[in-house]
Amino acid sequence: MKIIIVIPAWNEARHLGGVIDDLLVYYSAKSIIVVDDCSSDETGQIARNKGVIVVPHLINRGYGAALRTGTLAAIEQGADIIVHFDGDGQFLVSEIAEMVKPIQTGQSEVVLGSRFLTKISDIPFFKKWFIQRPAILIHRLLLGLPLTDTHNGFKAFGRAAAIKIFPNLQQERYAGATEVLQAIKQYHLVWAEVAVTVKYGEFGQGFGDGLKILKDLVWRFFIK
Amino acid sequence: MSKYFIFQLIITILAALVWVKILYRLMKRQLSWAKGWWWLAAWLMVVVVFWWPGLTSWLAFNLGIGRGADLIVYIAILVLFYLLFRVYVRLDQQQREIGKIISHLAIKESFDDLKKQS
Repeated sequence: MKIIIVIPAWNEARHLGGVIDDLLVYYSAKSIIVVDDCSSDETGQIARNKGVIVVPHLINRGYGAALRTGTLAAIEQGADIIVHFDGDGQFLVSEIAEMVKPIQTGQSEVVLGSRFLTKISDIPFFKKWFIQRPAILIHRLLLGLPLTDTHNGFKAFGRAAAIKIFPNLQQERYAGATEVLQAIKQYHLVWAEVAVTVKYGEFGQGFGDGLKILKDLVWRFFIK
Repeated sequence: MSKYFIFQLIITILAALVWVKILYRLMKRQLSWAKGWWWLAAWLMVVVVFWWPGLTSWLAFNLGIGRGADLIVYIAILVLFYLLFRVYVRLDQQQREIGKIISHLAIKESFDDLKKQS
């Protein structure tokens, strides 16, 4: 099965090179897509120098839009499985194999990474209890999906599931991750969660981002 | 001829010009019928209010507002809020369309690069 890894990247020059190097140990350059979301630093050039496929946004569109573009490009490239992987070095490349396994064996159509299953992630206290836990509760209430984690950038999609979800994705910023979950429920896709390790640094979504996500979701609800 | 009559006349001519413009756009199908009728009715109301100003006082009294001028201000605020909402919706729609174009161009560019390399 052809696996393509999609990395949404905006001003990730500091970490992206290392992430791509790690990926190249396991995967070929042509199975890695970096969506450069109009970075003002060397993000795009670093990815090009590594020989991976670079999909450049002319205008910055946001995390959700970058994932949509990257996934559509992967579908066009004939991917059977599309893996979403952040470019800031939070995730372990070695765990991609575990993420895609349920799709390869036909058990699931979508696999979501979770920081709160068995593996231990070094999550800062404030982030865990004031951002992630309330976010999980809100998502459970809104979507009715028994998730243990939300807005984890590590995900895997079977080709058919990706074709259903991504062409119609409306949210272009972080709320796109919530829309993906909505689509999983809407299309009755078989999903599973797999424990992943997350390394924390000066990155990820903050409290302000959480409020923006809520605002985007409420706004979309009214203008739908 | 009173000053108010001149004012009424100017407003009526202005409304007539707007009607012509709306009807022209409707015939050319540049405007949907729903929106067209809404604007025609809105400008008709403007003319009615200028020719029979007592009507707003009567309506305001029956709605418990008091003065006719207050009623017009309240309606104007509601209409402005609605139009602002419509503008935001349109803006959002355009943003999504821009997103699609950017996505399409990005994928095309990357495939062109791949073709050049191979």
